[in-house]
Amino acid sequence: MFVYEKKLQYPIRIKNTNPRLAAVIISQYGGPDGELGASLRYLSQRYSMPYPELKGLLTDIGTEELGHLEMVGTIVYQLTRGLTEDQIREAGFDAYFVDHTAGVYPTAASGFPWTAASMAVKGDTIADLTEDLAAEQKARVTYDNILRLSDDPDVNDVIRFLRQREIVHFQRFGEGLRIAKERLGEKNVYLYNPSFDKK
Amino acid sequence: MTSKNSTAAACSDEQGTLPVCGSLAYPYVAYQGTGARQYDSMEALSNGTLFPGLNLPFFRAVEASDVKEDLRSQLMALDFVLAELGLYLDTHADDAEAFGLFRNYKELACQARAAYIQKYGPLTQTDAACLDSYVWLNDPWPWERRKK
Repeated sequence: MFVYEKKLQYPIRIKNTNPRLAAVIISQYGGPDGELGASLRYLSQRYSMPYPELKGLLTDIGTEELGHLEMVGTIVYQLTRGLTEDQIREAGFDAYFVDHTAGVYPTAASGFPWTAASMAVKGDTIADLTEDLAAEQKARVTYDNILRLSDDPDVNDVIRFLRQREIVHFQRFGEGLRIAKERLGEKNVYLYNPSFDKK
Repeated sequence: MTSKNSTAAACSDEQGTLPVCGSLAYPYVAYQGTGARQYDSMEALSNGTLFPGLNLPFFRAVEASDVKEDLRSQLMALDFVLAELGLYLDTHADDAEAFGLFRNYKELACQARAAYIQKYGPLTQTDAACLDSYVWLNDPWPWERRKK
C-alpha cells in the first residue's frame, strides 16, 4: 500500500510566475517521458519480475517517481499562481488555459493528453529493464531541454535535481540487468523468458 | 556480487566493474563498486545524488544549488540519503558498510522527523493522532509556496 507524506522530496520555492515555462514543464507531468508514465511503468512492470532485487528496484524507483510527479506538479502550480487574463494571453498559455484554467492536468506540452501508449510492460525481464534504461535517458534529455528553455534559477535548481535522479536510476537499472545476467548464466540469455517460463 | 571475472577493483569513483568477457547481444552498465566516496546529507540533497562519481551535470546547470539548512531541509536531506542508499542496497544487498550507513541515517532521520512534526505538524495523516487536535488539514500543503 501507499501512505502519503506531506512534504516534497526537494524544496521548491519559485518567486516569479511564468506561464510560458509552465506550459513546457507540464510535459514532465503528463508527457511521453514524464514522471506519471515513469511511475506507472515501473510499478506495473514489477509484477512479472522474477528476482527479489528487481522487484525491489522497480518498487522503490516507481515510488520515487510518484514523488517527482508531485514536484513537477508543484513547479507548474507555482509558475501559474495568480495570473491575470492579459498574462495568459501574452505568454502563450491560452491553449492550455481554455481547457484546464490554472489546474494541473497530465498532458504533453504539445497538448496530447497522457497516454499509456507512451510506456510499455512487455512481461519479459530483459526487454522491460532495457526499456527502463531508455526511459531514464529520454526523461534526462527532456530535463536537459527544459534547462535550455528556462532562465529561472528557482526552476532550474529543481530541474537539475530531477535530471540527476534519472542518471542514478539509469545506473541502478543497468545493475539490475547485470543481476539478471548473473542469474541467467553465461550461455544463451534468450533461451527462455525468466518472467514467464518456469525453470 | 559481480567481482567474479570482472575488471580489477582499481576503478575511480566515476568508474565501475565490467566482465572481462561479456555475452554478445546483452547490454552492460558498469557496476558501481563498494566504498564509493559520498557527500554529506545536505550536499547529497543539493546535488541530487549521494555519490560524487554519479554526479554528471548538464552544461546549463553545472553548479549544485545551495539548499538552506533548516529543520525541513535537514529532514529532506536525511530522507533523501535513505532513498538513495536504499536504491544502492537494492543492487548491493551484501554491502555491510552501506547497510550500516543505512541504519545510522535512519536513526538520524527518526530524530529529525520527531522534531519536524513538533514544529511544522504531521507528515502522515496518522501522525496527527499523536498531536492535540486534527491538524492534518492545516496549510501549507507541500505544493504551496511557503512564506520565508
